[in-house]
Amino acid sequence: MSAIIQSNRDFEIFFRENFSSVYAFMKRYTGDDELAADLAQETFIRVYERRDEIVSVDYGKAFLYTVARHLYWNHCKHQRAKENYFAQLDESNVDDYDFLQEVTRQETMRMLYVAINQLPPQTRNVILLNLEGKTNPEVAEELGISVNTVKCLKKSAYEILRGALSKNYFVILMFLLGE
Amino acid sequence: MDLLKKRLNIARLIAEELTGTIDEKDRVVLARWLDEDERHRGEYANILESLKTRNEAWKDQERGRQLMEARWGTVKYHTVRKTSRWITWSKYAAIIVLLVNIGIFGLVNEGKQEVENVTVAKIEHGSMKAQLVLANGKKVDLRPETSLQLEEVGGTRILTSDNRVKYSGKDSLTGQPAEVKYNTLIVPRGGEFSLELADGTRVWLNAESRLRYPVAFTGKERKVEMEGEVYFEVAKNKEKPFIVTVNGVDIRVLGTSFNVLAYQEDVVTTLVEGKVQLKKGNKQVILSPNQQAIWSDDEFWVKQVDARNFVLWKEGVFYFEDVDLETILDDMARWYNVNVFYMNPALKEMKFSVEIRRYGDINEILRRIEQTKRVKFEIKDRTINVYE
Repeated sequence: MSAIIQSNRDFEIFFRENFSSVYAFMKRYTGDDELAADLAQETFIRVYERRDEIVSVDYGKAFLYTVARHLYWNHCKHQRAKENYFAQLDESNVDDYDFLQEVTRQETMRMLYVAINQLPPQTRNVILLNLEGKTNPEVAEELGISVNTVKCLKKSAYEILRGALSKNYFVILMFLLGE
Repeated sequence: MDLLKKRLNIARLIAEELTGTIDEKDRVVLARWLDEDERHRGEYANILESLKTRNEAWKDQERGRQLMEARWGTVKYHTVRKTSRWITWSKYAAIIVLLVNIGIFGLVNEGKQEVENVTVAKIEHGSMKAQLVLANGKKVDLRPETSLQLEEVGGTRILTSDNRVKYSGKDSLTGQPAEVKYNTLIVPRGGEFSLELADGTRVWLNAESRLRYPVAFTGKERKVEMEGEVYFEVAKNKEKPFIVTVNGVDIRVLGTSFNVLAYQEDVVTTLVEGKVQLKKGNKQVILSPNQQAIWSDDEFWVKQVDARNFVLWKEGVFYFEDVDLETILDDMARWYNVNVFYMNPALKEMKFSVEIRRYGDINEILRRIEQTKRVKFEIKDRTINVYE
């Protein structure tokens, strides 16, 4: 298997595809906007150094989050050392399960966000309201359109969403945007 | 990693389920995952819950998008722009890791005896040295004590003595458009050297630099090519502009003094006196004294500086004012011919100011930086290890 990040352009696409979720991941852990962005930024710099090892999209993402966690960890260690010499490092807040849960959550959100942003405005509204848990009649009422229109817009959204959520989305993206 | 990869797939399935685009086979996979563990169902419920308030759910993703452009600039600066450098770096890192491993191994096996062996070979500061490549490809090693007299094709005489190379002879061969002969002066790591060209222009080369120049300036222009760091004092000649080509940038002058620093892709030109014009492709700028132009990211960036500080190296002084550690240590690495290894790459970004003699012990400058209590250094063999 060969590395998927071959050119500078590939790396840029990889960055643009994943920055927001790594940032969101860091934001959840640190609660600090600036720090989250700094750590997310550093994550990509580190991953770049070892881009040759990234042989699949899945591996790339898994690697990205592993590095992110590692950097967060390091940051905590330094903070603890600075703030309280005697403090025991509390590992419970970054245990494995928590990490897996956070990655799952951020990836789900990222994929939904990217997919939904590709929809035309009215269709997007329908899908967003659906995601909020509203039924078709409720959506129709809120947007002032008929239930049939809602159904129709949902149908038209289907292909776009399906494409954007596909396993091969990133590979296709690289093909379309790459050099 | 496998657990993580499985989770990434689950994330996709959840997104598909929520948008109604999941197929039957995947729905079974997702259902099985939810069945597996109560915590999984809890996660799923959490995601549904946060989607109910739209602002909450997308807030971080949106903020991430906003920050992305600015952060890409920084990431780009540290990654793709430096590709070639990173490749060399990882190579060094591998070697250093190997050395460290051997070191530990040796320590374990030899115990006490090792202590003596570890005593570091003294690191010498740089010195006057260079290699001169003549037009016929012949190489001559130059040292301070070397005193040579050579004659190039076409009658140019080359004198080497007093730490410099001097060219003299017929400046232009009238009526005889002879083929231009080039010499190259190569200064290795741990070296510096100076040179007087056939037109009287004086040139100082810093460590790990090279200059290629004609042995006689016969044409309408005086053209030279360089790499690394070079200070020029160009002899005045209004009829024949002097042009330095470096990384594709042309620096055009009539008679003036300026420093060019170009160890990486960037070209930093600092003007001491006179006037220079810089050009690359269709972009160009003109500098006045105490201005500095940086060619980077396909643009010239001009700023005001105290130019004297940028040419102190040729007076035997390291001078850094609010400069990042990486730049400082790269410069030292070239002069002392050592390697640098950062235990934490983030340290590269820290800024320091320091002024110290070049012909001193490497520990002088390292100790000076350590006094700030922000970093620590340890020299092992020929590698400076940088710690927090």
